[in-house]
Amino acid sequence: MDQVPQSSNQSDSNKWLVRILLIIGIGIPVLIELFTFSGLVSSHFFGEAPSATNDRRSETSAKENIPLVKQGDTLFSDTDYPLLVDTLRLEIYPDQWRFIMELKPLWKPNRERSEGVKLTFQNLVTQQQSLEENRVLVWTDNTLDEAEITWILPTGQRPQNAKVTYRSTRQDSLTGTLDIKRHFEFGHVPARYKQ
Amino acid sequence: MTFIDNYPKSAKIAKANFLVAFIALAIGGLFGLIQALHRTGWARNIISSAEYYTMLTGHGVLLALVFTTFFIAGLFVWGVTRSLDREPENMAFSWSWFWIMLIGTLMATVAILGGFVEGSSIRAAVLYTFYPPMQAHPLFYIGAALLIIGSWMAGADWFRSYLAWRKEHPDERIPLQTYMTLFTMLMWYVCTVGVALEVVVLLIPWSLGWVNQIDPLLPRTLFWYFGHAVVYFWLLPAYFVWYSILPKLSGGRLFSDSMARIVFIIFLILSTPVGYHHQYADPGITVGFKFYAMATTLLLLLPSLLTLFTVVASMEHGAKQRGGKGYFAWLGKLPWGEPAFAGCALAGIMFAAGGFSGIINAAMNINILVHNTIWVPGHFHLTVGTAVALTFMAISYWLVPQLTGRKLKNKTLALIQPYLWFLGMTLMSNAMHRGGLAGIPRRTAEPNYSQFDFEAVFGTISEIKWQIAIGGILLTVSLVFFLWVIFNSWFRGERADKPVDDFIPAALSGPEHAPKILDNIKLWVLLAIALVLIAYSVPLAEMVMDGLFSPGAPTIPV
Ligand code: HEM
Ligand SMILES: [Cu+2]
Repeated sequence: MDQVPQSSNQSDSNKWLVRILLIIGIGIPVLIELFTFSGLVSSHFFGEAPSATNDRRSETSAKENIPLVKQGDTLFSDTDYPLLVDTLRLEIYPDQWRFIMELKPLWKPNRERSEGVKLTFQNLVTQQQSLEENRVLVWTDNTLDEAEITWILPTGQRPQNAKVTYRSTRQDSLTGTLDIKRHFEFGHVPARYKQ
Repeated sequence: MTFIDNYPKSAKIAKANFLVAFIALAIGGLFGLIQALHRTGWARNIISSAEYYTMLTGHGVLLALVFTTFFIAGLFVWGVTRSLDREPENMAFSWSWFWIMLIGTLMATVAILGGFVEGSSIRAAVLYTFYPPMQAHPLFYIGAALLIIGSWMAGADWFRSYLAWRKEHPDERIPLQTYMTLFTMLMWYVCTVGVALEVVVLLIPWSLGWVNQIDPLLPRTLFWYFGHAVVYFWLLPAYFVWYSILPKLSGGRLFSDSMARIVFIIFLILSTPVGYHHQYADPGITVGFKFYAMATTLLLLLPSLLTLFTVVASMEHGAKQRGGKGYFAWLGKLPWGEPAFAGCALAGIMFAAGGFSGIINAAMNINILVHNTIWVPGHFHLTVGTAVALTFMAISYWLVPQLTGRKLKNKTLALIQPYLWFLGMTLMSNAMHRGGLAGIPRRTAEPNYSQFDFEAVFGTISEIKWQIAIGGILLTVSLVFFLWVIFNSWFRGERADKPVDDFIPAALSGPEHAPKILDNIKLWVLLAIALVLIAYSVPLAEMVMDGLFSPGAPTIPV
């Protein structure tokens, strides 16, 4: 084959350039792929097996033993008046994010003694700030209505936790009122885009 | 004497196509860099996260649809002209397809870029796959339709040249470059029927507000009917280069002419019936058809492996002509210091890697693991983003001098360019694949939402992000080198009678050894249509009977 002739000193400097290019341009890629391969293989054979129950998020909160609140959970299941988290949702509008929580009593308390329950959210903490607004929900005796709380959050803020007091009033004077203070840690809150 | 002297009219139209292609490459590449920096969190202030999708649409459309189509048109004009030794039959017709493609491209580009103008009603942040539910301004769809129509006319132009040539050469075999062009275009005709129907019958009326409901599955299916074959529309021109030019650049000759023909036939018949492999996660398509698509997809590995064999054998032949010896030592005798050769060879190596990740994508069950994660862009930046794009860039170093009659300038930059691309793409694509395994989504401006951490299989996520950003920067530098070299050579290069050695020697085993049936165009087209009908007629009929413009199936009374 006839090659385009090159002056010899040009092809000499060219030779060095090509050598460097081959070392850097192909050598580094080959190294990267070898590292990747060995990383994959060793994590497959020697890495920690991921366990199905081991949710990374629950690991962090497990430290404080605070249950994560998720949609579908039942709150205060240890009382006469447990509450179901019917909806837990972030609605995303261009200028604000709304955190919506809908609660409803799970059943009518079978002991006719309860006069109802009052739930007070004392604050709501997001990643960057704490909204110190009291929000109160009240269910009087025998209603099963759903109640909703909405917080308006600055865009980009997700709810993290809240301080809540739960007060149920009983008719029997022996126990009077039951006060529980709890700390809610929110788990995954599904987000919905709104126009 | 080189191409421009022998075929001045073809040279002009090929150059016009290349010019559009390179401008699209420049804009699209810049967008790519901004995306890489934005989504890794390196620079969130260049664009807003809402504009990210406008930019991503621009990147995908300008690179995957515009750069490719125009470059391919230029390449095929060159190949058909030189292999048939005749210029287009009617220059007015040739220029008209060019202008229709260009006007369509400009319309679609204006619609996309409108997204950056605040308050503009002209926008098209629908991504390059453009199926509903996202909707673009009608300008975008009409532009896309014109681009396709123009490409059909371009194909007709090459068939016209072929038929005119055939009259004068009734008994000759179709010259290989023309053969590859015609078969690529036949595949293009078969597959673009789907997207043309989608755009003209469904999307344009919907975007104009003539109908206001649309069934999401049907346009998706029509898109993907086209959407896999389109990747071979990009790839086959790269194969055209690897079969017909790369052996010469390695100092040798093509190993087997018939192998090249067989490969193109397999692509014609198998490219389209595989479209469902992009819809493995779509409800509404029976699993049996998905399985059929998987089987045909895996069959498509065959022609790529045949290509690997033939092209490597041709390169080995070339290296041995240059004094190479041994099983592997000959590799050192290849002209690694020639930018056009080095670029094509590196593109070919990367394509092998892309093939491996493609096997993962193609497998119905493993696909779920990587579906819609950034693994997928990791995969196709190896295939279309390197195997195709780097081949096109590299071969431009050899073609542009022939088309302009000027010598290549800045040869050192031209030589560094493909190696830099290879390095940058390894970094970016490797990290994208690993990010995908960690579940990081694609098409997402800010993938790092709070209260959730992606977990890398090994290493860390922030290291993956670094790798993507650095890779993107190296790729952009490489792209700037390419554009600079081409600009300088094209407009400031030194005129020469013979700026490159443009002689292409005959194949070692030429067409005289290829069975005649390989040139039977009608037979292969009919077979292709038959396979498409098997794959698509039943599902499409079901979807159409569900109602063209009504989302969801109506209840069926029993
Ligand atoms: C400068 C070089 C390039 C860089 C830095 C780059 C970067 C990127 C990045 C980061 C994405 C992923 C965005 C996401 O999913 O959120 C992307 C997507 C994409 N790139 Fe590139 N790219 C480059 C070159 C190319 C080339 C040469 C092609 C094709 C010829 C290409 C075709 C595409 C396509 C089709 C998409 C998908 C768009 C979508 O998902 O709608 N890119 N690119
Ligand atoms: Cu595909």
